[in-house]
Amino acid sequence: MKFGLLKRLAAVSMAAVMVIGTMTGCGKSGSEKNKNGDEVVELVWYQVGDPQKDQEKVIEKANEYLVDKIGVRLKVNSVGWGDYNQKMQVVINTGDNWDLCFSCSWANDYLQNANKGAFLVLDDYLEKDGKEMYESIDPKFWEAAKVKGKTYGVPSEKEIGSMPMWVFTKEYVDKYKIPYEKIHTLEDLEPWLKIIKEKEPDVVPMYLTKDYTAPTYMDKIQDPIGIEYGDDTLTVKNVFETDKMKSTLKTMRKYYEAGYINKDAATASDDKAQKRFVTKGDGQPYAELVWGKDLGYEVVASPIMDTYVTNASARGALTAINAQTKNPEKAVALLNLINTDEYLRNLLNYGIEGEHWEKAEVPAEEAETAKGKPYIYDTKVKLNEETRKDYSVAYWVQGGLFGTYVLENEPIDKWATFKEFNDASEVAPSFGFDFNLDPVSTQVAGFRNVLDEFGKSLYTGSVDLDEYLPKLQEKLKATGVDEVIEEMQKQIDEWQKSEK
Amino acid sequence: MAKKNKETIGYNQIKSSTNIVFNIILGLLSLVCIIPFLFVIIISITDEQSLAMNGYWFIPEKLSLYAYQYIMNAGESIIRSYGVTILVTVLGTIIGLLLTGTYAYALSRKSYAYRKFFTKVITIPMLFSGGMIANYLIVTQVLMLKDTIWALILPICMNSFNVIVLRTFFKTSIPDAVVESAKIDGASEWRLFFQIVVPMALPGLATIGLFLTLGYWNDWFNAMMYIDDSKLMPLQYMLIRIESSIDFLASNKSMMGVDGVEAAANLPKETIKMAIVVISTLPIIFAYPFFQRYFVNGLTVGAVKE
Repeated sequence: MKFGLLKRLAAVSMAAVMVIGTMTGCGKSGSEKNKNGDEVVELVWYQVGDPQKDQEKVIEKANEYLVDKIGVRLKVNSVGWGDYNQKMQVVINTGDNWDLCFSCSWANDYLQNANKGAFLVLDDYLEKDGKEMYESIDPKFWEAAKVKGKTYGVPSEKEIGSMPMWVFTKEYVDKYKIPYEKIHTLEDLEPWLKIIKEKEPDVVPMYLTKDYTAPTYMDKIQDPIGIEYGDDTLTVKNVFETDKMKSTLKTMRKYYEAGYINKDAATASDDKAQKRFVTKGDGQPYAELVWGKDLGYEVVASPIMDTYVTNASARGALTAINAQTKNPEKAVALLNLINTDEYLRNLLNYGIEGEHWEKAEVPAEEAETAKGKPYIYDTKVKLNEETRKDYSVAYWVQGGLFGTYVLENEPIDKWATFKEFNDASEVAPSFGFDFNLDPVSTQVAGFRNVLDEFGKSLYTGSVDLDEYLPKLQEKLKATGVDEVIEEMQKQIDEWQKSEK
Repeated sequence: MAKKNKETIGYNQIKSSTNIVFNIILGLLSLVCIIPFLFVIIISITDEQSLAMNGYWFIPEKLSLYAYQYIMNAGESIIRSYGVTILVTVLGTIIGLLLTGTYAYALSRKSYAYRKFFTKVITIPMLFSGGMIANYLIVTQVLMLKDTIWALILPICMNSFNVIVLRTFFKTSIPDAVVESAKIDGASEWRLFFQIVVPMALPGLATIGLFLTLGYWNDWFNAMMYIDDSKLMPLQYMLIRIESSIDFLASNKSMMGVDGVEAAANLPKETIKMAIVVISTLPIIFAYPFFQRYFVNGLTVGAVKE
């Protein structure tokens, strides 16, 4: 008897496994209509960033609005920062069910996916469903989004260039009256490093970590190869062969030997407890506020060089649409709405008004001075301290920054400043050129290892330059750096001809 | 000296001085194992502020249970993930043992006609695998398991290695005579398996059970691949996600600039991370001694072939 029961139990549980397995797979069917009689479709959107506790609530609220407005029901899948690359590779390559996804130059590679044909070509749609956003977003971004003349993604408008900066701890700047605004090059730092070294024994004059790269005056199209800023002849060079980098490395070595740099620079990860005088950061307007908040004390910053726009920097954040999507018009319409609709943009960015944030008044005099500038809103945002951690997404993942309200402690003309910054950024000579690395992919794959082996210790000055730089060159040569330079030069010459 | 030693030291016994040295070495080794975990516990009860000021210390300047409070209060999702992990582990171990046990038992019986064929079937995935993309396609589009709890259970409940270990174990520890006599007494195949074979093979099954339990408890890869719904995230995936996010943001600093700093600031702080490690490790620490009495026995018995 007892075993009869067991047998039945086993059989039933097996059957249950099967049934539940298949049942959950089936989706809802039958179409839903909104009040305008449009069919409502569900769009699946993969975004980078850790999932938020209140995400469902916020998306539900957004859906109430979206269903009636454009007949879209949104489903957002957030994938953690570190897993995004791998996950998207699988999702895209298996033809899984997705409609929109976040893409850029540093995660879920835009160029590669566009070349592969995974993303929908948007040019036709931008003339109709996406007209408004096409007109509102800076043409420079659209230019960067083009691969072989076609647009595959909607850029999120933000800072367009990368802006390497020296970040100084304000305490010491004030104490020694350091004219930080006049410090730009690596060499400018020397006298002040010396003073700090002598007078402040427990402060590291120049604090560097393993992620540090020495100031590079070049668009590294394929690390370590690229084109120097300002080189209009478009000569492809190896960064370690350039005079600028050689002298930079020499200075770094000098600083290291003088004890200005922490001894473990090549292996350290940022230890915030470590007191430092200066470090390098990659900034944007008002970056000091963010760094200061992160470190817990005030910092000031000064740009190392002019800001250049490169393909990589201008493709900092884009949203692409699946080439296989069933609803391309709706997906474009959704992006269009997010990038142009004030209510929706702020809902997705900050969460629900009254729960995650409240409107805050703009001081009258501030509003007065900002008059006439672009991207000024008549309200600021005061985040709810209790609930803000339940919904906090990276600003540029869903859409452009300039459509969002600024925070209470930020100037009302923050985005206007960003816009000025973008307009003032210089375009690198190589901007718009995409390197097709297929002919030399084996050589390029080898670079990573060589750079990992030598890069960090050379950049931080931790090893003897005369011994290790030639070694690095030799290894790069052995991996085939010359062939890659040759190939890139060939491609860039062709590109230049077709441009003119 | 040498003479004396010969007299006092018995058969198979080590010299007492060597013994001391060995004890010291083993003591050091176990310290190496214990100290990191002790450290984790200490960090989890250190005050976040003093951690930022002084770095890690064995004796914290200021104690704080903030991390645990955070998990209890705000971290509804953490408790939920805990539940998911426990459910997956229990269900997975039961299903896995059932499948592995029956498969291995069938292979161990000489009277089974397709024994050779099914042995080959199970060894093939040991040597080759379809790869990530093929797996993903099967799980999401053939089995339709995406965003279900079964996606966390089924992909890893059968393992060729476990089947082979268990088959060898059955072969060596269950004499054919026992099986035959039970059959003569009229036992059906099910009764034979559950009432005769399983009790005799407990050490082996417990070993595989432990492998499965540990495997399920520590699994995060399936969650990364197949789960988008944050309600079904197991605890280990939450942890690994925090870690890999921090790594990614740090190594892409130059590309992401300030945005990376902002994103990193939103991730859970050090003490909370450590507290999650502590609560995720405790149950498995308690499960270990339970299995351990079978463990050593099981491994050695299964390893010897006839």
